[in-house]
Amino acid sequence: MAVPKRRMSRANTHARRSQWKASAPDLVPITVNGREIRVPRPLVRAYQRGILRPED
Amino acid sequence: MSAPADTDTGTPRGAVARARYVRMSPMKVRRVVDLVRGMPVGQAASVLRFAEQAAATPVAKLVASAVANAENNFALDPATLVISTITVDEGPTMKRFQPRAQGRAYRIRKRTSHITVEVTSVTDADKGGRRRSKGRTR
Repeated sequence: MAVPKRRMSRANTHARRSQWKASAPDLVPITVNGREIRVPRPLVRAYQRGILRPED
Repeated sequence: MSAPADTDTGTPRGAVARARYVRMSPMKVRRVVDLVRGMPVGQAASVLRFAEQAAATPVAKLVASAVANAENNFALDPATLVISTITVDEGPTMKRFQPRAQGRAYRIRKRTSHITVEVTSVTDADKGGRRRSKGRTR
């Protein structure tokens, strides 16, 4: 099993952690039932066909 | 818990909601919270709804709670609200033990978070001039 040979500096730890970010979902505005909602691009068709419904 | 007030009139311009002892590590919750800081609340709600991180659920509930506080307690228009402050503090940690070889025990830390959201009403008049610089608070 690989084990760390040396203690890692605080700066390196913080530099790595600061890169650990979430990316926001890619949302597109669509109009369903006269209301504008923002949904992920892969789900646009599902909302337009009524397979998925926006929560009320 | 004091709501952010207008400096001129003293009328409330925002509302606060706080979730305490959420059984999630602050590091993971901060990753989600950083997505929506400074956003209008409507936009934040849809981002949190479709964010894949587990922490998005309690954060979304908390933002909705802050909006409801602003609407019902301070009669503010939800359409004008933005997330002016959102922070995650560390709560108490529960300690558990994982037995290891040779009679050793490794500690497992079950961390908890306290999440605070402040929503502020921003109207078009504010955007022109004296909007409070809040976008990134760190």
